[in-house]
Amino acid sequence: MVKIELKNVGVDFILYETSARSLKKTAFRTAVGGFISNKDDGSKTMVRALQDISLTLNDGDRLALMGPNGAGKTTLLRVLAGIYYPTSGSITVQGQCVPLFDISLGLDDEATGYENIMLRGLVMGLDRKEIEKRVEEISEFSGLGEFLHLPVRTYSSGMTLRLLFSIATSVNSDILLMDEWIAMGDADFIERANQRLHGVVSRSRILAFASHNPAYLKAVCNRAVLLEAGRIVAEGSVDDVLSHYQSDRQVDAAQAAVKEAADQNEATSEAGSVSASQQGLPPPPESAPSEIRRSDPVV
Amino acid sequence: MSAPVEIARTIQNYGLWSTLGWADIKFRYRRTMIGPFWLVISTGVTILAIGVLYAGLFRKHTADYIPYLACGMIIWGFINTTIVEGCNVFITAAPIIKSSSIPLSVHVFRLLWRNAIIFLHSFVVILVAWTYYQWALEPSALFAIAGLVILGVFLFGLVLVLSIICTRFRDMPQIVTSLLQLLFFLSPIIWTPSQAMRASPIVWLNPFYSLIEVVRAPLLAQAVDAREWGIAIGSAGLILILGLMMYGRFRRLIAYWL
Repeated sequence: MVKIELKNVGVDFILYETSARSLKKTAFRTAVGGFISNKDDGSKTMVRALQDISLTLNDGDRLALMGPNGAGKTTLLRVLAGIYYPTSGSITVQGQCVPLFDISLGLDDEATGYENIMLRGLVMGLDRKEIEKRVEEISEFSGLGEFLHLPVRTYSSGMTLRLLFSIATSVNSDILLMDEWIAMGDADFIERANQRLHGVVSRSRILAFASHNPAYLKAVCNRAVLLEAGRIVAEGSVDDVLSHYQSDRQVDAAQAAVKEAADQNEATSEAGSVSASQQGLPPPPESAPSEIRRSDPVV
Repeated sequence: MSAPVEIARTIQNYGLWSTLGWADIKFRYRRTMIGPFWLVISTGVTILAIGVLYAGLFRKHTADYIPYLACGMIIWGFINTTIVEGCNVFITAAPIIKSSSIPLSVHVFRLLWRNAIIFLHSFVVILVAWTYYQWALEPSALFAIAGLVILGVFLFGLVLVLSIICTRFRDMPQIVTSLLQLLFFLSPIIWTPSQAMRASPIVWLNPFYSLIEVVRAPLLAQAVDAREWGIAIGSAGLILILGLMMYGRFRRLIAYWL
């Protein structure tokens, strides 16, 4: 039985080297990135990458992770992979994880194609026998032929990519974790590569896939989660969460435009000249927050 | 999975770290002529130079001194490299730690295996010394293998302790390197302790003295005091326990420190 269960998982990165005094406020949220604060006694700086994440994944779940940069998608994937153990909450994982975060991990330039198949396979967590079983189908799919007997430093970058792709997509995993779509190579390879990647995804029993590309997410996932500053703000089907995310971004863009107008207004009114309306900026939408401060023009 | 279970699984799954450790050496020397034996040549030359000079200074016969020096220096080479690389083992492996699910203990085993292979290459120097000086070898020389196992266990525990401290506090590796240089001179490698000196705490409180003796003495067909075996096994046991405790306590934080 393959299952992942997260209960109130939180991940706090403590930065040991920075002084708490360099932060102006005790805690603040940013539009991009996680939640920065001081630790309770004010001694160290901390980035709260994930907060209160509760999620259950069962056999057949293909989860899309969405959110702006720094929302915590990669951190959550690494928690699933067992790389970052939660600093609060708990996680239970049944089944073997294959993280495909870095498809060149373990590659050695001096080693031959065949030797690198072994190295990459070992680093992915497979054992020698499993790798030896797959060597033939990997070498056939890559189409590199005799080049596999030569060291990888003699390959072009496209050839290396083909090899790495072939190795990465040969796994049979219980749980597959992907951070962005794997780069696929040249035109005639892409068609077969696409099929192969869909193959590896369907062979896995659970998939967690972080991406900014809605097309990939829709093609491959059956559930989605939207992360923002380390929290899950939306959950549901891929389409639902996508529309939530896109409408959020429209509101954010509008707010940013209004704030920019207000800042420019302050700056230019201190110099004693033009006001916002004369700059031709769009009027603020009705739902604009009241945080924007307008100072009276100084004449 | 608890720490002892993880380590037991890692030992069972030896294919992973033994292949990676061997690959480290194989590909590093791929386009060289003599490969890992370069290390052997440079060690051999150093031993010869120091051996001839210090034999004169200490008024010993080279036939007695050089074999002693050779064994000591090669064993120390193993110890020194393992500890220095051991301090940084997680820092060096950071890319793998942050992108794969491989348990952390794999990196420690990989390090030990790699250095054990290099030690076996360096052993050639001792063989060369033996063909020249032909000291009497007895079957008790096989006890050196037991000595090596004890030394290996000691280094495993020590690397666990140091790597954790050095990953968290990044100036520790420098301190460790300096301490090792000191220990090289404090340990009987270049100098032989007389009977009187063996009783002094500077000699026997230094666990490296016993650890080196239990490998060196059998090779030189010399008797090893039961006290030496005791200290070697005892210190290996203690540092292993400390290492395992620290590993159990801190292994889940290591990724956060990288």
